[in-house]
Amino acid sequence: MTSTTAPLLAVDDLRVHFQLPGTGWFGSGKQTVKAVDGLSIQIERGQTLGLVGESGCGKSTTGRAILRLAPITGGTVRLNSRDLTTLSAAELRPIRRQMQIVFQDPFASLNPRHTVEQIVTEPIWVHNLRPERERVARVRELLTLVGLPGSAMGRFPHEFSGGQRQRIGIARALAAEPDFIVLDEPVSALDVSIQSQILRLLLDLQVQFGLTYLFIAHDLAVVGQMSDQVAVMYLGRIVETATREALYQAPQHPYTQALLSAVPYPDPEIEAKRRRVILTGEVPSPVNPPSGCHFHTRCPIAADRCRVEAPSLRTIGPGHQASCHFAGGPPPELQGAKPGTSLRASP
Amino acid sequence: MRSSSDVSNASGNSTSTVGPVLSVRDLRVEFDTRRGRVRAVDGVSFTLNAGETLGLVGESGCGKTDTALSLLRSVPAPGKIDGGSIEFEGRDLLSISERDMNRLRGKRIALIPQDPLTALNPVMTVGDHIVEVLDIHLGMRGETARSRAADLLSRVGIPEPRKRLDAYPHQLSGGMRQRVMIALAISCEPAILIADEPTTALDATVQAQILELLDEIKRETGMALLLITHNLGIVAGHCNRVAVMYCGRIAETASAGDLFRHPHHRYTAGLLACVPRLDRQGKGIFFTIPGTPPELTNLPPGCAFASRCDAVTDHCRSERPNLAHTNGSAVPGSTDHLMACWNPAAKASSDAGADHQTSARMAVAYGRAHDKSDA
Repeated sequence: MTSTTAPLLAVDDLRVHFQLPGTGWFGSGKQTVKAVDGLSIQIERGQTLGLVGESGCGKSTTGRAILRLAPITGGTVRLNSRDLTTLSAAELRPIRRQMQIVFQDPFASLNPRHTVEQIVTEPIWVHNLRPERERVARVRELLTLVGLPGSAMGRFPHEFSGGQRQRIGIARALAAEPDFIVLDEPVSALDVSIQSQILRLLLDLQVQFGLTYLFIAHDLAVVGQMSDQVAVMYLGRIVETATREALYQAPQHPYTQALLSAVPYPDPEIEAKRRRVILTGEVPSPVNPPSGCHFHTRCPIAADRCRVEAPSLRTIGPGHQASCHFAGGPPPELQGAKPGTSLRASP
Repeated sequence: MRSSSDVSNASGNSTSTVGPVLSVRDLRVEFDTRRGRVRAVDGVSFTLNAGETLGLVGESGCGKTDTALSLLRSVPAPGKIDGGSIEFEGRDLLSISERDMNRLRGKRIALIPQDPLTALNPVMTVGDHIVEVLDIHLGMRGETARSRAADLLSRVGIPEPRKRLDAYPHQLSGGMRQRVMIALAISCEPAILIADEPTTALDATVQAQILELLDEIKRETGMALLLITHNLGIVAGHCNRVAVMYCGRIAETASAGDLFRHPHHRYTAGLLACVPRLDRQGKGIFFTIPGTPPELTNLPPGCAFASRCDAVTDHCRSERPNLAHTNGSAVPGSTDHLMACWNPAAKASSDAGADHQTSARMAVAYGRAHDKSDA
């Protein structure tokens, strides 16, 4: 964040609000879901920002809104310094080439009636990227890049395993020759052994083509293998953001600490010794978020102040911001299980 | 009544004084497909003791779910159980009548299926689901059944259980649905609970809650738990013993402590190294098992893992290894650490801690370790 050139992606105060149909007469009593509420992030060219949070926290909506696939209520999204939020659909079309997405569900995100060749050719055709006669060769090249045999071209998505389908999805995203890719939980539907294959592929492609990633996931252990910067989201807002090292070594927000402590260690001895912060309950409804700090209903260190006063995202170290009244300072007295130490159960 | 001489039950845990509640021997499940006959489960043997958790781990298609469904005799067509025995409460489940089997399903042996959304009937309320089971198996009806159902919901940590009885599945979150599935499964206090990937569709925080809940219920009721997963990391803190499956066979089985400290089979070591860890963080630091499992219709003559193994020998390609004790004795069953590998990972380095070094070395060798930051 200290570089002098403008970041590839700069999102400022992004808001995505959905109106729910009212329950009263003639649609009165309408409620608003603030899926994303004042979110700001920046990603430098060639870097990866990991966006982490539980289901329903707004992380996927954020990814989609950045690509203008979800309606934006407010704020700006700048890709290569150009604000996307004010562009018309026609103005946006050439820019869409620069930004692509890989979806979570490798089964639902590929058209079952299209062959792999049709699926991967489509972006090339839509954006008129290669002369007609070079397109088949280009598709073959893309498939090789993602580790699929050329014989895959004429086959249909159902003939492939989950991991291979995700490779097809990645080839499709690459076909547009993008600068920026939103990876929306690209490995959460896959076996661990296949996850690491796909993650390695994504990293190799990033280095090879200088790609910039927004990596959306709910698993902090996976995010740490992929990201330079990490942002943790809760109920539509970022609660902590830092470099990977800072976030994993000195997490400040109790929610980040809880997420870290939920990651299982593949070692029974460490597991037995660990003191976990297991969050009770689930994410509250975004229709009616808790007062004060949104997290106070599940927070192990919540105090009276947290129920009334919403903390703002404040800087507590170089490039490290957290929105907790107690972040950066000494932990409050009433703290029962000290979350900061529970995940330091080093072997 | 049950001989426990065969196959391991000596986990070294406090539960080893009790005989096994379940012993599966040489189980085989076949599927007739257009591309030929496929043996999805090929000679799997294991025992399950009361109060014990056995982790059954492997990739998609390795036969772990078919193994579990065999215990309920519910392998989906065209699959069928083709051989072996499943001894439970003094009877071989493979030879009893369908009627007797129905009395066991959901009552003595219960299943938490993989996908809690599709497993619940969308037009039945949560209460209907539970009351139905209580009626069928325990003859419980009316208000008695409803209050028992509410007790069960509160037992699995669902707030306002009375109100939730009238909720439909779609009104609940994924974690809540999974809790309902657990409430259903434990409603008749089964001797064995099979949990098939119970947390795969859930967030990490909810996953931790669900696993804690299963542990708690197990401690209270003394049931045996068969925990099926593709992620070795998940089972580490929650299993007494672990069996790793590959291509329909058990590749390695041991007590959890032993398996995680000294993985012998190369596949186990690989699976273990694949698990993302917080103490080994850094961009690009990860280990990959290359390739995918071979098609079951076209298994190689030797070890099924040979094509993906980085320590493959000629022997591995020509002869299939059988499950044997890790100290080299040919007879399986005498002790608890068994593996089917000709060139095991822990062969050269049997002292403690060596495996951690091995996996760390693998991580460095395979990843781009330029910004490695160990905890």
